[in-house]
Amino acid sequence: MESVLNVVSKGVSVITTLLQTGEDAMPAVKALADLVSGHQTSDPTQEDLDKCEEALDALIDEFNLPLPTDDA
Amino acid sequence: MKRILTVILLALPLMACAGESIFKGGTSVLATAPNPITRTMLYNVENGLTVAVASLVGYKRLCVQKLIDQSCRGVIVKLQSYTIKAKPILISLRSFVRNNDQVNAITAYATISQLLSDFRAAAAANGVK
Repeated sequence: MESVLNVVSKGVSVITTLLQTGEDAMPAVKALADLVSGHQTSDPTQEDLDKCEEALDALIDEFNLPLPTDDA
Repeated sequence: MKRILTVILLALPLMACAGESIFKGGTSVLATAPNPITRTMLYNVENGLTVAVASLVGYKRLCVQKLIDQSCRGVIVKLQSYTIKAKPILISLRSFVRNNDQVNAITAYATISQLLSDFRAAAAANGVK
């Protein structure tokens, strides 16, 4: 339980900053919620895992895109 | 910018702080994984990664919009070298877990753990402690 609280604490800090900077925090909020509930409930379904992976892949793909070049 | 990078490093402990492995309900992805690696364990790891990568994406968007110091561009390029390597390994890890190929799953997990460790070092080397 203590380790879950530790994760929640750090996750909340991340989400708070995302919100303050006007960024979309929903993927992080959902992931944190799933992370917490995952410590308390039974195994996730394959559908749960597929949705989680789809969200993570979209974020990784966005971050991995090359930075746009500056205009001259 | 330092605050944003601080947040990223706050998120990294979700993956990489000392302590019990996230596979065992702890917070560390770098701790040794038990055998076998189950679907629930993989789910928890990926949710932790989602929170961390979401903060990276937020940082990148601010950088692209030029709302933060443009030294962020160099930082992002450095960090991308790790996330680009991590993606195919993560995909392989998923496949190994689904197919219950535990030997390869543990190897893939160890590779990602090392990448995350290197990532943390690179982020810290950019001036955030």
